[in-house]
Amino acid sequence: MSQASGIKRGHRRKLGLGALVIVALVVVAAINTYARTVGSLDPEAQSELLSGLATIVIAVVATVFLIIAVTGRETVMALTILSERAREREEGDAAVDVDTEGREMGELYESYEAVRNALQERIRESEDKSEQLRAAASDYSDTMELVGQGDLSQRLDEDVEDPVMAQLAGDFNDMMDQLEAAIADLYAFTEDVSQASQLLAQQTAQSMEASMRIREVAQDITEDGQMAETFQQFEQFEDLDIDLQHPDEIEDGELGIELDETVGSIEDLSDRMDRIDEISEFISDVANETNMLALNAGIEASKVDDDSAEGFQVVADEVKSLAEETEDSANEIESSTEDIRSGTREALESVLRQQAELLSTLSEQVEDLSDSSEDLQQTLSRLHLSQERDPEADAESEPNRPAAE
Amino acid sequence: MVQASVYWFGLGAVALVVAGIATVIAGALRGRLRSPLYNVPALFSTIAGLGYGVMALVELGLVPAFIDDPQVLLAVPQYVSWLLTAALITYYLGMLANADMESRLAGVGASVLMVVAGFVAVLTGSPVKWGAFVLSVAFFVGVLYIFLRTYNQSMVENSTGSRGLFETLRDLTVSLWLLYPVVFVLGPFGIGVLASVDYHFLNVFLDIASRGGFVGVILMRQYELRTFLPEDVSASPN
Repeated sequence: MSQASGIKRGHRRKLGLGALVIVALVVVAAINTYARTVGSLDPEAQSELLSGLATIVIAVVATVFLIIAVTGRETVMALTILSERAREREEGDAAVDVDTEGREMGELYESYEAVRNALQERIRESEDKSEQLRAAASDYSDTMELVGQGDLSQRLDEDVEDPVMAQLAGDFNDMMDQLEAAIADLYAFTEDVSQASQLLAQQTAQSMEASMRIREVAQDITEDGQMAETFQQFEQFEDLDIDLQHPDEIEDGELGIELDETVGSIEDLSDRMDRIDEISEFISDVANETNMLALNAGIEASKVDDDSAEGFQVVADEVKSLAEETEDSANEIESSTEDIRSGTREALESVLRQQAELLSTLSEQVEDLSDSSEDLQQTLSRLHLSQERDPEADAESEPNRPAAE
Repeated sequence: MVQASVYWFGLGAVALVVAGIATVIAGALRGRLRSPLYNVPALFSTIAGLGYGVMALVELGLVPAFIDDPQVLLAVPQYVSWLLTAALITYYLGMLANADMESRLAGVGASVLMVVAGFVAVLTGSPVKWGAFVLSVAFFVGVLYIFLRTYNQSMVENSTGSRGLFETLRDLTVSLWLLYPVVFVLGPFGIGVLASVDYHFLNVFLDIASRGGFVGVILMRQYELRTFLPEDVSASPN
């Protein structure tokens, strides 16, 4: 409006200046005519000349006033009315009448009406596009909600008209492909860890069983009159593939190998934990990329009109929410991995400690068995020598045996 | 021999009556003939035209001379016409400005007194003549005040388009009415610079410009009339 007022003021100023110049020129011309001719005229003719010139001047002034009042204002009025109509349009009244009705500024009004129609068409197109974006954003929101609930097979529709939305959907789908592959790898490693844990538990149980049997054997050996049972226990040790006749070879024996396998399994489990750490870091990277995707969507939302921005903002919020959930999942995996690693370390230390205790116990008990065996051999030798020195005594005592029996 | 003034009077009569008829036709085509927005301009234009018709008849000697001075005799229909048309134009502008009835009547009263005082100046000789002339100019100043202040303040709530139409008609009226006292002073009733025929020519010229121009502006921008009064907006044919 201020621009239109400025145009009006400038137009009036020019009109006023032009009118003043015209009136001045006419007055000067009239005075000049009267001065040149008055000397050659009689008084009556001089009066008629003066009257005629005054009439002309007044008529010219009246004409100029008429032009200024009507034509000048009429011209700027077209601008004023157009400005008023434009302001009404700006205030939302799209049905403002721009009927020309044969006015002087009719062509200008018709041009304005054409502009108005074009603007209405653009508004309709914008509304349609906004509606499409809103629908696409709603679909994206639903899909991301399903992804957030755990269905990683969901993908966004990239076949949309808006290139920014299509780019957003493509980036999101790529990110989901990477995330789905990472989750699949994680599941596979988890399965391996489970199998390794079962194997470790099985081997630990066997070690504990062996340890318990060795303790029982040691207790049996220390008790008197249990020799036969002791030998039976030795036979059971043979079932466990433990060579008690060669205690120095125990570490190279089957029990040592099994314990080494157990330790190896634990170390392998630790290696797998490290891989899980790497996967967790990868998931964190994906979450960061998702955050960047949400940030890009937010930036795109700020570039477009309000209706489209609403759709972008919905998508940005969903992507950001998904990124936060992914980050939380990665943190949980990392925390669980740390727990498993701690448990594995404790299990490894326990197995090693049990292995050391078992070997120490075995060594002591084998030495005891060796001493007992030597005592037994000495006793048997003495018995054998006494039989050889006194056969008569044996013969004399033989007839008495039935009596004794 | 027919006086040149007769042609000017005839020209004024034809032009102004045609303007009145055109206004009637325009109002009838729009179904707004009963609206004062159409019938008032038609009325004062026709009155002015008829006034010049009477003056032409007086100049032709077809009307009995009830006053000895032929200039004063011509002045009677002239001032009667001005009396009525000035009052109607003042009222019409007040109507367009949406002014209250008190302001409109004040404007009409001032314009009537202005013309009456002018007619007194025509009828009397010096120094009463000039006293009446000064009084007429004073009433004219009052009319200008009502046009430029009172009516203008009533236009505050009007739209820019309707305000522009009022201002166009007001400026047209004010600027051309300013020349009537000049013509009077220079004319036969004043210092006598203008010959009688030139005096009548200028009056016809000014009347055609002010009354006829007034009607012409309304006819050119009659679509704006429907923005002035609510009842006209609702009843306006599209």
